[in-house]
Amino acid sequence: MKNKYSIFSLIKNAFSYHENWQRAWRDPEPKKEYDAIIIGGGGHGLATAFYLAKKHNMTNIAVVEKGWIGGGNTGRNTTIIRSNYLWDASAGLYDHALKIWEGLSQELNYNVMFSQRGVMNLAHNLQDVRDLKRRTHANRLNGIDAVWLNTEEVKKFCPIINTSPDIRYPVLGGTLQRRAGTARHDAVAWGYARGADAMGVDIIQNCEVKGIKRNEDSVEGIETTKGFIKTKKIGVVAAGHSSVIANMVDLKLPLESKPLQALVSEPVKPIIDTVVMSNAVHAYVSQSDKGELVIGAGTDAYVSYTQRGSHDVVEGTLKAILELYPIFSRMKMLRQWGGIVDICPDASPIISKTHIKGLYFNCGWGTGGFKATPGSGDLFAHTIANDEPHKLNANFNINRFVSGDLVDEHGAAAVAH
Amino acid sequence: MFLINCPYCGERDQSEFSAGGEAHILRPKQPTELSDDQWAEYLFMRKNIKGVQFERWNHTHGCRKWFNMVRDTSNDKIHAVYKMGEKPPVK
Amino acid sequence: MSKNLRITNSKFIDQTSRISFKFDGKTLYGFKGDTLASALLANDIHLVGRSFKYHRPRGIMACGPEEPNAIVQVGSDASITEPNTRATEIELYEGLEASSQNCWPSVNFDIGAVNNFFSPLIPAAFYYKTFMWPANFWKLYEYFIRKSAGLGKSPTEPDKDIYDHRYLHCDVLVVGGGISGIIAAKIAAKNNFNTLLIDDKNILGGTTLFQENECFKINNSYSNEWLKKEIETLKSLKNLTIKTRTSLAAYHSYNYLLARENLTDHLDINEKKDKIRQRLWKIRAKKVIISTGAMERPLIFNNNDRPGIILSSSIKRYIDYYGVKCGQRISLFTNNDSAYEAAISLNNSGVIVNSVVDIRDKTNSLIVKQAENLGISISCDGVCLTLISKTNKILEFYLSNETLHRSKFKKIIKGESINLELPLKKGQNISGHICQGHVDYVSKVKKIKLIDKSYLMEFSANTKQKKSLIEKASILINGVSLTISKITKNGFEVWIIPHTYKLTNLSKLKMNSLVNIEVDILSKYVKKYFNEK
Ligand SMILES: Cc1cc2nc3c(=O)[nH]c(=O)nc-3n(C[C@H](O)[C@H](O)[C@H](O)COP(=O)(O)OP(=O)(O)OC[C@H]3O[C@@H](n4cnc5c(N)ncnc54)[C@H](O)[C@@H]3O)c2cc1C
Ligand SMILES: [Zn+2]
Repeated sequence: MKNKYSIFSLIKNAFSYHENWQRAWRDPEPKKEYDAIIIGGGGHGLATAFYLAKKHNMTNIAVVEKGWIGGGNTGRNTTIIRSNYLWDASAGLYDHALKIWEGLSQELNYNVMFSQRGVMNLAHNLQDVRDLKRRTHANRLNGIDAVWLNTEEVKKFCPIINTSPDIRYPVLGGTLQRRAGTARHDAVAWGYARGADAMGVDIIQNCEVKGIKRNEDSVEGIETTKGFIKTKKIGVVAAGHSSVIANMVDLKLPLESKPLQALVSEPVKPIIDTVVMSNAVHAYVSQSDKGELVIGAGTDAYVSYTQRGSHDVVEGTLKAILELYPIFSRMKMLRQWGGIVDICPDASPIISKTHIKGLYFNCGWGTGGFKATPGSGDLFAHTIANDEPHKLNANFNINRFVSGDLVDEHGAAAVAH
Repeated sequence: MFLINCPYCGERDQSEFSAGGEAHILRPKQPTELSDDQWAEYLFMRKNIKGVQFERWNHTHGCRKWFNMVRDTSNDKIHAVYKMGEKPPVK
Repeated sequence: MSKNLRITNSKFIDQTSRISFKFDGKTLYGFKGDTLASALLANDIHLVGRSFKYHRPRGIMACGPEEPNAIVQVGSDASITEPNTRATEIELYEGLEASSQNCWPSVNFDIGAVNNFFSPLIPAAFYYKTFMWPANFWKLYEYFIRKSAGLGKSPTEPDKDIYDHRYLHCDVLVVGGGISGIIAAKIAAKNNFNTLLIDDKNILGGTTLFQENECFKINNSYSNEWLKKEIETLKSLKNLTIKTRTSLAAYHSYNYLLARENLTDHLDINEKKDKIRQRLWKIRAKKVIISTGAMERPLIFNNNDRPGIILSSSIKRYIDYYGVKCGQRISLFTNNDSAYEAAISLNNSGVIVNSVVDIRDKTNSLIVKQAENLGISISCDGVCLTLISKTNKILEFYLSNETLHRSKFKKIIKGESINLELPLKKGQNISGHICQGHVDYVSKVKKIKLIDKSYLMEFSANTKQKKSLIEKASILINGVSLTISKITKNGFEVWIIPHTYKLTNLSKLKMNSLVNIEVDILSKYVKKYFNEK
C-alpha cells in the first residue's frame, strides 16, 4: 500500500491540512473485459474481491455497485459479531470469520474497530433456556467459547438489565460469548475497498447491473448502466436484491426480501458496555463508540424493497427494550432506518455455484451476515477462483433445498444477530 | 404503515393484519409423484419480485379471514385486494 | 460580571411571575413564558456547552427545534434526568435544573478543550487510520475513546413518569400553526373536514405573533392583530381540534403520522406529579398539510459556531417575543432582507446595531429603506473574495493558494455555478467593517516568501499578544484586513494575494519593517469573555 495509515501519516498530513491524502480507492471507468466481476459493493462483495486478489492472484477483476459502496445492508446493520451458532457447518463458517476479524485491522491497515466486548443472549422462558443451553454445549464441542449465565450472573455482567422476576418476560439466564462484539460497519467496507484497490481491483460505483448475458449454459458478461462488460465469471453478492439479479437469468432462489429496521439514540456517556440480545422479545442493544445506543428491531413479514419498515415493529422492540432497561425511558431516538434483508427458509446463507457455468451466488445472509463478512469473502473467493466450494462452505450450496440437507439456524439467527 | 382495505371489513390499520407470502402457489395434488426438484420448487423457491406481486394476507385481529392483495413491492403501493378463490382483478 | 439583558416591553413574558431555576448549580431567574435559552441569554450567559469532539465552546444559536448547539442535561435526579435537550425547547418552570454537557471540570474551564488544539491531528474519521498498533492495545484506546464520546448522561434509575398513546383519525392534518397553517385549518374546517392542527410551540401564530412591522400588514391591519382575530375564529370552529406543544415526529406511508404531545414538561416540579407526561398521537389522516414555515440557514464563515453568533431571525424572536436582547452591541451579517427586521426590532428596543453587512448589491426593498431611515449603518456588496475585474457578466476573482486549499474552489469546474455565500469563509470584508481603527500593538515582519504569486508573511507576536489570535480569524495589518493562516512559534502568518499586495502598502514591507496590528474584534470579545468568567 503506497500510503500506509498510522499516527505518523496523520501527523505528516496535518501539515498539509489533510488535503494531500492519497485517495483511498480510485474511481475508474470500467474496462471492456475482466477475469471476474463481483456484483454488489457491500462488505461481502468487497471482501470477495480483496481475497480473490490477495489469495488467488486474480487482480484483473471489478466490483460493480449500483449506488455507493457500503450503502446497502453493510451500512445499515447493527454490527453484532459472534459465532455461537448451533450446527457444525455454521460453527465452522462463522468462527472462521470471527478468527479473521481478530486480525482484520492489521491485515487491512485500516482500523475496523473490532471490539470484543462480549455478546449475551437472554432466555425468557423454559424453552429459551433449553435451546440456549443446548447451543452452549454444541458451541463448546466445536471449540467456540460459550458460557451459560444464571440470572444473577446476567445481572452482574450487565447491571442495567431489569432482572426482576415479575416483569412480563423475566430473565431466566443467558449465554455469553466473550470473543463476540461489534465492529465499525463503514470501516469494513472502506478498508476492504482500499485494500482491493491497492492490488488493482476496479471498484466501479454508480453502475447498476441491468442484465446478464449468457450463452447456453455459461455467462458472457453483464449489461450495466455504464455499458456492456465482458467476463466469464460473475459473483453475485447483492443481498436484498439477489432475486432481482437471479431473475435476469430465470433463476429462482429460495429467498424473500424483507425490511429490517434499526435505530440509534442520541449519544450519551458510557452506560452499557456489552451487547445484549433477546430473541424472544425481539430486542437487542449495544452502545457505539460514539455513545449512541444501537437498537435492532425485527423484520416485517412482507416482501418489500423500499428500505423502510412498519412503525409497529419498532414500537414492539422499544416496548421490550423499556421492559428490560427501564432506565432508557427518557432517551431520545435520533435516527431510524431500514435495510432489505434476503432471508433463506433455513436462516442460513448460500455460498454456491449455480447450474450456469461462471455464475456464483453469495446471498441469504438475511438479518445476520455482517458478522460473516471476512469469512464469507474468503470462502466465496475460493469458490469463484477454483470453481469449487471450500470445505467450510460446501454445506451452504443451493442444492441443499433440493436434497433436504438444510442447516436450520432459526434458533441462533432468529431475527437477532 | 399500510392502510389495508379488507374485502370483508373495509379499511383497517396494517397492525391488524399478518402477511402470508406469495399467492397462487398451488399445493401439488400428488406430492408423492413429484421429483425432489419439483418439491423444492413448490416448498422453497419464490419469485420475490421487485415490482407488482400477488400475495396473501390475513385479517388476524379482525374477521380472521384470508384474502389476496396486489402490491408493488418497490414502493408498497397497494393496487387491489380480492377474496380467496377470486380471479386477480389486474394482470 | 454578567449583565441583565432583559428589556421590559414583551407581551408574551409575564414579568410579574419570577421563576427561579438552576444552571450549572447557579441559581438564576427568569419569567413565565421564557425558554431556558431566553432566560440564560437574559442573564447574559452565552457559553452553555462543549462540542462533541473538539470541545469547542457552544452557545445558543437559534430559538427552536433547529438549535444545534445549546444542548443541555435537564434534571439531576437519577430517574428523571434527561440528556441532550435543546435549551430553546425547554419552557422555564419553577425548580428547573439544567447543566452543560461534555465538559469537565466545568464548561468554562474544560480539560477536553485540548482536543481543539490537537484538531489538526484528529480530522474526520482519523480513528480509521490509527490506534492499530500494537494490535492488542485497541481495547485500551477504545476505553478512552468511549469515555470521551457521548454528550449527556443516561438516567440510571427507572423513569417514574407516566406516558400514554392514542389513535386519532382525521380528514385533514395541518402541521404548523403559523399564518399558512391557520388559514389552511380554517378553510378545511369550514368545509366540513374533520381537521387537526398541531404546533410544537405553546401558542399558535408562528413568527407572525411578534410581527409588528408596517411592511407586513395584512388586510390593512398589523399582522399580529390580524392573527389574533384569526385565532379567535379558529377556536370557535366545531370541526377543528388544536393541539399545541405537539411536535410531529414521523411520517409513515399511507399518511400514518406520529406526534408527541408534551403535557407536563412546562409545569412546576410539584404540579407535574401523577400527571401523564407525554402522549404519543398515532394519526391517520386523509390529507396532510405541512406548513412548518422555514428555518434560517446560517451563513458560512470561520468560527460561525462560537457563542455569541446567533441567527438573525432568532435575535428578532428573542427581542420581540422574549424581551431579551442578545447583546449590548450587535452586528448583523446577511444575504437577504430578514436581518433588517432584526435590526429594526433591536433598534426599536434601544440596542445599538453596529452595522448590517449585506453581501448583496444595493436593494430597493422597503424594509432596507426603513432600516436606513432609522440610521442603521448598512454596508452592501460585502463579497469576501477579492474582485479583480468586473466585465460584463463575468467577475474575476483572485484566489490564493491558501484559499484554494481551504475552500472547495479547488475542485470547482468551468461553468459550475457558485453560491456567493461561500467566499465568506475568508471573512475579509466583514472584519474590514468591524475595524475600529484602534491599533493593538506593533509587530515586525519576520518572513516574506513568494509562493505562486501570493506572499506568505510572518509577523511577530509575543505570547500575550498571541492569545487573542485565532487561526482563520481576521486581523488588520496597517489597516488592511487579512486572515491569519497559521499561528507560529513567534507570531503568526498571513497570505497576501497579489491584488492586495499591489494596492496596499504591504508591498513596501521588508524584513523587520514595523506594522500596526489590530486584532479581530471577535477574538477580543471572546478573550474578554473568558477573562470575566
Ligand atoms: C437493520 C439491520 C441490522 C442488521 N444487524 C446485523 C447484525 O447485528 N449482525 C450481523 O451480522 N448482520 C446484521 N445485519 C445483516 C447484515 O447487514 C447483512 O447480512 C450484510 O451486511 C450483507 O452484506 P452484503 O455485502 O452481502 O450486502 P449489502 O451491504 O447490502 O451489499 C449489496 C450491494 O449490492 C448492490 N446491488 C444490488 N443490486 C445491484 C445491481 N443490480 N447492480 C449493482 N449493484 C447492486 C447494493 O446496492 C448493495 O450495495 C443487519 C441488517 C439490517 C438491515
Ligand atoms: Zn376483515
